[in-house]
Amino acid sequence: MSVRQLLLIAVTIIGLSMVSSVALIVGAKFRRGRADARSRALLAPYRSSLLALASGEDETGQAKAELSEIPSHTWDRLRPSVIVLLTKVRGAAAEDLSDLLRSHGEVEKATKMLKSRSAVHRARAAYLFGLVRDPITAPLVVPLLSDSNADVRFVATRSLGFIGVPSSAGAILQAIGNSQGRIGVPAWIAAEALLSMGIEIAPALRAGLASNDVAVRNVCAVVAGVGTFSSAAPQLRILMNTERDDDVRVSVAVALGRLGGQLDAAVLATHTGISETAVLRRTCATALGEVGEPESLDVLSGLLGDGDRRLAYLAAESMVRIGIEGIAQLQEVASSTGQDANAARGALDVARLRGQLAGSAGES
Amino acid sequence: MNWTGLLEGVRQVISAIMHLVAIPVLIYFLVINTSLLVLIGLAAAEFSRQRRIEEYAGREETVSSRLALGVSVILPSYNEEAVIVTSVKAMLALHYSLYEIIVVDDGSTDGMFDRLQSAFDLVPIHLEVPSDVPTRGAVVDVHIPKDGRTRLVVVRKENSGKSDAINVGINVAVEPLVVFVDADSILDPDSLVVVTKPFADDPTRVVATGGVIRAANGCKVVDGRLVEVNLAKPWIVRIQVVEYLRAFLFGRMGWSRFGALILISGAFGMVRRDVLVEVGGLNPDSIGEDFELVMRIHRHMLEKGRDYRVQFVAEPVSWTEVPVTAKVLRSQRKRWHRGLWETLWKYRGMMFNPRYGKVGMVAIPYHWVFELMAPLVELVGLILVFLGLPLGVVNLPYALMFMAAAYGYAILVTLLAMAVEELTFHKYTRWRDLGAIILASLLENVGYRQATAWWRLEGWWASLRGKKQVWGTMTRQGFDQDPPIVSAVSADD
Amino acid sequence: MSESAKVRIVVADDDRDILDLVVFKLSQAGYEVMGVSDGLAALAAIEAEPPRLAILDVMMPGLSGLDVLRKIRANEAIKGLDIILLTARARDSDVDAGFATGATDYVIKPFSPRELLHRVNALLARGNA
Repeated sequence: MSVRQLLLIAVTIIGLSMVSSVALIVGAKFRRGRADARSRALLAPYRSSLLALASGEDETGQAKAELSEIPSHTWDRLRPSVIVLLTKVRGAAAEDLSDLLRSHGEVEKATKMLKSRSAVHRARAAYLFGLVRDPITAPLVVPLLSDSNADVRFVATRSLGFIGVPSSAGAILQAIGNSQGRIGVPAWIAAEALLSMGIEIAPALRAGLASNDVAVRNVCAVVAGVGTFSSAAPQLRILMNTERDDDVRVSVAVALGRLGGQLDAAVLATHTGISETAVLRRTCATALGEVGEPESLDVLSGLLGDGDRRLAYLAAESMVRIGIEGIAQLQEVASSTGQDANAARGALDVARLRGQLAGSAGES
Repeated sequence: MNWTGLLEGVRQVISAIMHLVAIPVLIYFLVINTSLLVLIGLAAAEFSRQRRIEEYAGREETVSSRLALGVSVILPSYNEEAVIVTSVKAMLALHYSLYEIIVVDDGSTDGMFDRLQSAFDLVPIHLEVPSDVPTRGAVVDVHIPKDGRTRLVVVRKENSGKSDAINVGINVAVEPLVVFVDADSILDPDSLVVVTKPFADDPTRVVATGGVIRAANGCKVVDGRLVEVNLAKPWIVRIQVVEYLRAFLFGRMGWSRFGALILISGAFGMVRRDVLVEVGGLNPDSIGEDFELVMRIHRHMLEKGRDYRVQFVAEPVSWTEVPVTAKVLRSQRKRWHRGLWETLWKYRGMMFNPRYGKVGMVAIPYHWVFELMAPLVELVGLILVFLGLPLGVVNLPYALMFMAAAYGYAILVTLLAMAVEELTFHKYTRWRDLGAIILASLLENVGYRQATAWWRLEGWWASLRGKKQVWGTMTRQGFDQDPPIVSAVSADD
Repeated sequence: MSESAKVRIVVADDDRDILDLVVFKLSQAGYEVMGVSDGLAALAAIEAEPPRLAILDVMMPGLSGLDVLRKIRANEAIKGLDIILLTARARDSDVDAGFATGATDYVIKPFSPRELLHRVNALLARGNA
């Protein structure tokens, strides 16, 4: 083949490809424009009924009836708006919107889609169940926690959180685990899901705190703290001393800060010691402030001169949080010289601005 | 003067060179454009995946999540009085539940601090700034708003450059994630949500993320927020828009998916604070400071044998004004290429070293050959072809082949990139703008490319000669008006 | 007292869906509702013709809900205005900050439109005593 022919072929290919690219761009835009305009026109008459339904104003059930009757091609276009609104409201309004989804057979469709070969369909199905929040559907979603596709597992976790059935807590905790370097389910979504399930998950949490899997222990510690599961406190106290993993120790410290009583203050205080990691020391110092026991003041004031200046500041902040005694001690330190005084002064400045100092004239 | 003799001599020289480089040059352009095609393909796959899951990805929860990872937003600022208040206000209203803004005033000589002080009721506090990361410029004072609750910290320090200012910011930062933002960047309200998600989803591995930067020129901005995306009128800007889409959007996304992203733009990059402290923060002496940082992170992680990831997020998170005049553009491109050269040279030990995985074996060599050398090859090829034609050394078919491989293929790749953009983000909604973009894809190759190639070589040459780099200064009018008046100064102008 | 004068409420939210929803709900209940999509417009509307109540989203471009709230509390003429913050910012510190800045009430999204109406009614009834 001569250079000439090669050239001709090359130029032709490039030329044609360019033209088709431009056609693709133009075509895509054109189609989208038409689709948007058509959607808007089609949905306009239903907007006020939808708003009525979404705001719980449908006393007579007329809006719901009207929207239940719309033909399926119109419903296809309306569905996204219904779903968006469902994520923004709760209570009776959300129930009404869920009923609307149900009346169009979305729940049946979703049930079928759960077994679909396409991961996108499975995910969409799981998503829908989360929106509709019917406790009966929980057992249908749980198997998806071990789906081969990460996105599906994610949506399943999230949806189970919305559905809120406490018995799925155990399954979620199991799904967190790492296998072959692959994250089962991101910790944050598992934690959020668990937090929306209420107090009945306490047994599952306590079991999780004893798990062999680091990620599971971590999530349980976080949830115990944020959700203030005081029944987990004894276990957490023990864990504070026995746990080896740094991240889990930090989470446990945070949790103890939240749950905290006198016993916890003592435990936290010991872990501000110099042999601990910087992160743990800082976390414990902050947690002591949250617990608020005056007995912690000694340990905290001892930290004001520490080489870790951020730790010193956090200790000073905690002293402010503990109350009048702490503030008084800080003020004494602040009037002296040396590094302790710097940390004290910084914390006191901020406290003054926030109106936390006794005798200050309200907040500014 | 024997003209024919001279001409014959030149002809022979060019002929000899052509014999040597004719085919390699063609192959070079075929490879570079094909690799771009591959990157675009990888990027397109990632985009479609991200758009599919967008619906149920849980964006709303992330905003109000009690477990959201805190972010410290660092704004290194020098003489930004025109935009700083609007910028900070907009950043204080981002859709995210746990973050602070740290403005580091790098010894500004204008009224920047005064404006901040009056806009936010700043009062000084005795805050000790830790020295987790070494810094040069001394901190003068620290201010926070009078209510003691608004999460804004303004640190004034001696002038010592942007990188050092960022390092001071890192020291002041209290949250686990740190992001550096230019004071004149306009952030998307969801930007923090978008860019922290990889950290939340994979907390043990992800160490750094970056988002897409787009050109803000011509867009409608109200109170520091982008309200309407428009294409600016000047062609120089339009061509840059095309460039940004191709390189930032697709190039970076492709590399990220491949697993060897080495360029996160400094205008919006998020890194874990503990990792930053481990590697010692930014290097104040380096020109391509963000590039250099990412390379350092890669090397550090690979040497420690840690399982890690640097991830690019496909959504536009930050908008910035791109240069409007050739003068400023030239300055910018010189600086970029200089930074590229110096950093690649600094980390040359990683090249083809299996210890450094995909970064060392693929990404770095690629950037040497197809980013660093590209302007050289392009200009040399062009000169040879245009000299060779009249001298009869190069025949027309070859010349056309060259044009096809170098420019035609490039245009095709760009058009495909535009197609993917239209199918996924479709940010440019007006027909007029779309037409202009397509035209810009073509125009890029008639003068713009050649000019930037020359400027990049200038930057490279300046570095080789050891000239000092001086930062440009841009005088601004502020966001909500017409394009800023810009004047740039560079040491080697 | 003019019995035909409807009670005026200003609602500000940059989310179209929420804005339409709240405006609709309150209008159906008999209030005269003005909806705006950013803080600047909200402030302008409130200063021009003070309503009985304002419902503000916090995270809006330009002036945030907290900014507007602060400005209103600093304005002698309207500082007593009842203001409800309607926002996705759910952390304790956010709620603290909201009330510390002077909010009369704080409603977290996702919200119950019915509950919002109850709160509005309750606040306004209090004012009538």
